Amino acid sequence: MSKYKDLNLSLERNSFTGDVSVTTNENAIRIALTNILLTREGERPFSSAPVGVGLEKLLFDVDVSSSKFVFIKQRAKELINKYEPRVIYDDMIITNYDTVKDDGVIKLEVKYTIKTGTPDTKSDSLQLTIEGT
Amino acid sequence: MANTPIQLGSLNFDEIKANLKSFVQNSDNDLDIDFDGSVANTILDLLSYNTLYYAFYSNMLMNESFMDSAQRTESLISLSKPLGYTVAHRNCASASLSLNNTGTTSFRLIPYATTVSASKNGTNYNFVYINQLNDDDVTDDIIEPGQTKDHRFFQASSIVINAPMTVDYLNQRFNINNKKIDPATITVRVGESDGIKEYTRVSNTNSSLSTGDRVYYIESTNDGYRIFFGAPTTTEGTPTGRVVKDTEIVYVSYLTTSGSGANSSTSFTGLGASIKVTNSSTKALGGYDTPNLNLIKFAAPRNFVGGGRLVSISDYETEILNKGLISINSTDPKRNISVYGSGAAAEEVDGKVLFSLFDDALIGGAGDSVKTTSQVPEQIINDFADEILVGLTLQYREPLEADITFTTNEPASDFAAAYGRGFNQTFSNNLNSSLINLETTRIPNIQAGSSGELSGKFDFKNRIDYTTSGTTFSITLNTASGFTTAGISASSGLIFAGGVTVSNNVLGTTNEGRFALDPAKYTTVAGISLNYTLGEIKVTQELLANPKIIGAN
Repeated sequence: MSKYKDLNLSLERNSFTGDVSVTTNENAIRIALTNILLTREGERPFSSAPVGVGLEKLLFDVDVSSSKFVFIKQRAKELINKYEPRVIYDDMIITNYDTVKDDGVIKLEVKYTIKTGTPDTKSDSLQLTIEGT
Repeated sequence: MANTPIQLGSLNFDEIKANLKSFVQNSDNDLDIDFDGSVANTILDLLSYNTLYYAFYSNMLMNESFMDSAQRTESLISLSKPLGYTVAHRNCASASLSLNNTGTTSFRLIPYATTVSASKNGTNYNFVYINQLNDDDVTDDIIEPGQTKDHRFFQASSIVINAPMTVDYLNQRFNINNKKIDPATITVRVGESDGIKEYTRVSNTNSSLSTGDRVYYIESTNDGYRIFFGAPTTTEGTPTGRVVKDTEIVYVSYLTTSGSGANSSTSFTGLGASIKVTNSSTKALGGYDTPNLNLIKFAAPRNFVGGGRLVSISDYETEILNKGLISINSTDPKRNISVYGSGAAAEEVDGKVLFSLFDDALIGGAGDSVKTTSQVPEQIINDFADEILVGLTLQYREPLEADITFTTNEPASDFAAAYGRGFNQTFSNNLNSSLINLETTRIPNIQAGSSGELSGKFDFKNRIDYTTSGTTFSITLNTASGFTTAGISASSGLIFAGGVTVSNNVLGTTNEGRFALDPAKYTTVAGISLNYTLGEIKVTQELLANPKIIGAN
């Protein structure tokens, strides 16, 4: 039996059960992390859980040494550790740093450790692509 | 498993979400709702937003539907319209000026033309005389040599005199789309075949109106004001006034105002060398930029109840308020107008309707009672002469002052901030009702006569024998450091001639606060009552309360 279960973001119907399809375990965690990282700051007003990193601010300003990137990394770390208690944030890097200034696409890799409740922790990563629309 | 009963009465997003979350969570549903990034949690967010918006919408809808809870001016305009009350979008600051003619010829004030100037922080404001009572009798406008008259002047940023209006003759109405107008300054004239005639504003139809009466009606709109003339009859056949013909031109005069900007303007001058403003240092008050919601909620229902008649106390209060002859406290107009029957006054003789006024604009904005010598009471009495019931006499009674002194070991500034001056005040802050209950039960409820301690309600409104001297009493108040049950004494009656004193010997400790009536301010008392259950000291009728603090112990 799966430990974690969440609805599939596409909300497609499961052809066998007729119910909304679900994702489980690592995939469920990955979707939750994606939601936290891609939610914009202030996108959920009135809520006491201010989820929202502001990754879109990196578009056209992707210098890894800039204070903005450092700040966003720090915020991603805080939000993930606070609102996604199933994992521990490890790092966030830009994987296409060489070409990012040419095509305006940012590819990020977020590395994290899944808490298993046992001494054997499990590392995983999430690939994100951010494009201007 | 059954879901937890859903509770969605909250207007707080987090509470709504928590309720929905507890409703969705059950053993049949093992979705990761608790993780804020999960899809299930995001869907819960959407549901919460939807609930929040509808809850807010419903709440707003209901609140704005009732006068007590409405917060939007547009709602109050609409709600007060059936009550016949006109909401003023903006109000002129005004001041009552005492004009003394030191010259040798008479001086005539001309409505909408005679102006004085005043200044505030280096900015000059014009104040205009408009003869607001629409009184055709011009003798009030004339100040003879050596004579002093009080007249009210209204601040104006512009004056419009006899502007011709485009009238919808079919529907007998026209609009004035300007929210900077003070509607109290509007006058309407109609060019009839035999000359220009001034029309009188009325607020309701009644059987005394005929189809020949020159009257108009006014109501507030979201853009300004709408003026109506009469049609021949209502559907019930009641005349509503004279119809304006399509060959007649309608002229309107009014003031636009700077609203609250001109409040506290002072140094009134500008009527020439022979007309001296004896109270030129008075401060203009009463201007506002947006309608005061509390004032609408106070005046509109009373306007409806009154309906132009003078029967109940509320009728008188409303009509005096509508005259606009004194500056009133915008949050509590009853502090400035007190109407009462003579039977309730100290002399206890029936047959008169008495009224007392307190003008917030007097003494440079500090406020003072309106004296008998002022023209304001006279104008009100003259104006109401035809309205009051047969057999009654309307009479002005200069307010009696009653100083109420609080002695406390709490900061005096707390009291100063809590208590103002005026009629119908209730002092309840910092009174400890349980303590008052304890202490007042020691005071005899027989208001005259012999000594002896009887329990009962303490009530100044009963007739008081002030011929027996020597009585002392005290009422302990709540203090920062608690209270003591140190006794008080009540002997040989309750009140002695000249008032009430408090004995320091009786109090005996600095932990107590004290309440006393100043013996210099009255000899008989009617109108102060102490409700020990609620911990209130209530002042009514002709008594003007002047709370004082004599320092912190």
